[in-house]
Amino acid sequence: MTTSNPSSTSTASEEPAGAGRGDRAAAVDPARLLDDRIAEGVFAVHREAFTSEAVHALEVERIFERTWVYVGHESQVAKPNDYITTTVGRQPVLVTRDAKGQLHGLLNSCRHRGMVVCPLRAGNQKFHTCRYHGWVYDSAGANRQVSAQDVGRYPQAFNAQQLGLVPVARFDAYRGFLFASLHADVPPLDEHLGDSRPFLDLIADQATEQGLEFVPGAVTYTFDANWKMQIENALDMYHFAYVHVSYLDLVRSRAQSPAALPPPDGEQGSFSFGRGHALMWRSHSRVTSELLARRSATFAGRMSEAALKWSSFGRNLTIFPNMQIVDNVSSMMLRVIRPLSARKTEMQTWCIAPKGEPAAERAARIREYEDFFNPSGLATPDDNVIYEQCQTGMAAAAAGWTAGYLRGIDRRGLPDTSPHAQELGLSGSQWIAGPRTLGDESCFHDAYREWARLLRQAPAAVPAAEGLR
Amino acid sequence: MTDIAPSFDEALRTVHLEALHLDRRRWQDWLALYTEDCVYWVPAWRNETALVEDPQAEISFIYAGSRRVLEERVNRLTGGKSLTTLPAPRTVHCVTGGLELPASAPGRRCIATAWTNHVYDPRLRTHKVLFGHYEHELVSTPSGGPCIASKKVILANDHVESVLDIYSV
Repeated sequence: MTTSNPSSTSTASEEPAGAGRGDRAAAVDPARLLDDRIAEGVFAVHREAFTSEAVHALEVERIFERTWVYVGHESQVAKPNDYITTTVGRQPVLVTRDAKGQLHGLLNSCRHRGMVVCPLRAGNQKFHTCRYHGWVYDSAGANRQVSAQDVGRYPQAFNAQQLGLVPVARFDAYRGFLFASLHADVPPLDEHLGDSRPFLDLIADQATEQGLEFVPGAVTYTFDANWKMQIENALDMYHFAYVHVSYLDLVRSRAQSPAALPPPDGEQGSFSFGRGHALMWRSHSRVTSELLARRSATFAGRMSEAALKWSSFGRNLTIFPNMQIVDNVSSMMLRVIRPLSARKTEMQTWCIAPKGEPAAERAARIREYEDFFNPSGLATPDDNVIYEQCQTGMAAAAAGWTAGYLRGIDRRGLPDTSPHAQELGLSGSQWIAGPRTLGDESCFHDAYREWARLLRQAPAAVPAAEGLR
Repeated sequence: MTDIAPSFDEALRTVHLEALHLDRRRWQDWLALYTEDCVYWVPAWRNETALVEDPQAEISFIYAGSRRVLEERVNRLTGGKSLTTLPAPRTVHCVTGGLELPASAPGRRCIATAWTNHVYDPRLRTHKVLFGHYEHELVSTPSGGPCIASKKVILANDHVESVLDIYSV
């Protein structure tokens, strides 16, 4: 059995021997791994970007621990004192709603000896007691007790009030989606999300008055391949007819009417929002016209005409670097990507649903979700095996750069502005649209541009020990 | 189906036979062990300690409400179009500890067992072990041996490695 403890997988031993921060930065030159000469029709990512442990170490340090990452959804911490635990890069994080209802993102590590204060995935607790020496924090992270402080002969300057759980540098929400950054030097979340926000709205606006919920039932899986395979694949419609042929056979055999199958004249396209975020869409979904009509009737009161139309399209959204939402209309899935090493990635997936939807619709949604998105389903396992075979193939460094980023580069004959962008109110997004066999790959580019930009940053300074002098 | 539940020994033998069919990849024989209206269920875990309880309102790893859905999976595995079985992993199920539990309805025999499954993937040359408990409910058929009316698979290690399918559990 390989490890079932993800936290033990990412260790210093996986870094090259003797590679300190400076050495590592010198060894990995992002400029050498990305060939972005789009004006000349060239865009390529070096195979080493997928196979190098030095690149992985740098990605954790300068991407996952330096920029905004998704950490959870408000519905998971709906009531006072609700909490969930997660990871930002390598670092354990506690997302908690305090007794007054305010949300906090805190490092889940006791200020005394570093123990994880909250070892469970989720719960409801007004106080968190460290099991090691009994230090107590409240649900806002404030230190409420240093056990036996009065007789402990602490230095005179010792101040327990300064020893609350350390907040993450930045913590904010957009429409219920919670994000954290371990580094303060990031733009406001709204600015970071930019034009991807109308597509998060399309998810959030499917909520009933009771809101959205993450359907109970945790699904976590790993694949033995680089996380960027997942980033690309969720935006890649080119693979669908090949990798998922057995799934498509099944859909065809189940289809009771031709309406449940995509129309041959369907449209497909993508938007790239900058900062690595992108969306791939298709003007159809594998649902019956009855279900589509029912969904549209439900959303009509809270969505504009344009939004209503887009809510009926299949949409795959990537918020760089760790969150993807796929809305197939028949079901909605949110996944969180966590690289464990250059060749191992952990995925967490959730079924998102409007609270209180009719029982039969909920059951149908769940079956659709399980069939496609589960690692025990009928489509995602094929993706996972593809990633693993790609990882094996990416070792062929002698074969040179891949040609996997070229579809969608030629813009001849396309209008200057996208009619789709206009109706959605998008301002500066890159776009492309075409027939349903377009299979755009240019929507991967922004992720690599952001990846390279973040990797080129100077190493972060280690903060001084505040409150311990 | 008849009104008389299969004997404990017959029922337990069927549980073992099912595991052997899976290991030998005798898919049609495996399917034939199930009733047409069978329930095959691998629930997900709600949290560290509790399984989901309602497959219509909560997430399962696999939920099949009829043999037809299992047939779909078999067709996918044998159709040569899914990469997950090119090549198919080799599996060795070990099923032990047959114990009778109260059945959910008359005419059924409920058997609880513990299982481990060693899975060798010739593609990656990796070995993994999955383990948990089974709860089978079996009914008698007029034509022959007992059939599986329901199977619940409790998967203890739910941190799935890449692929989980009917042969994995």
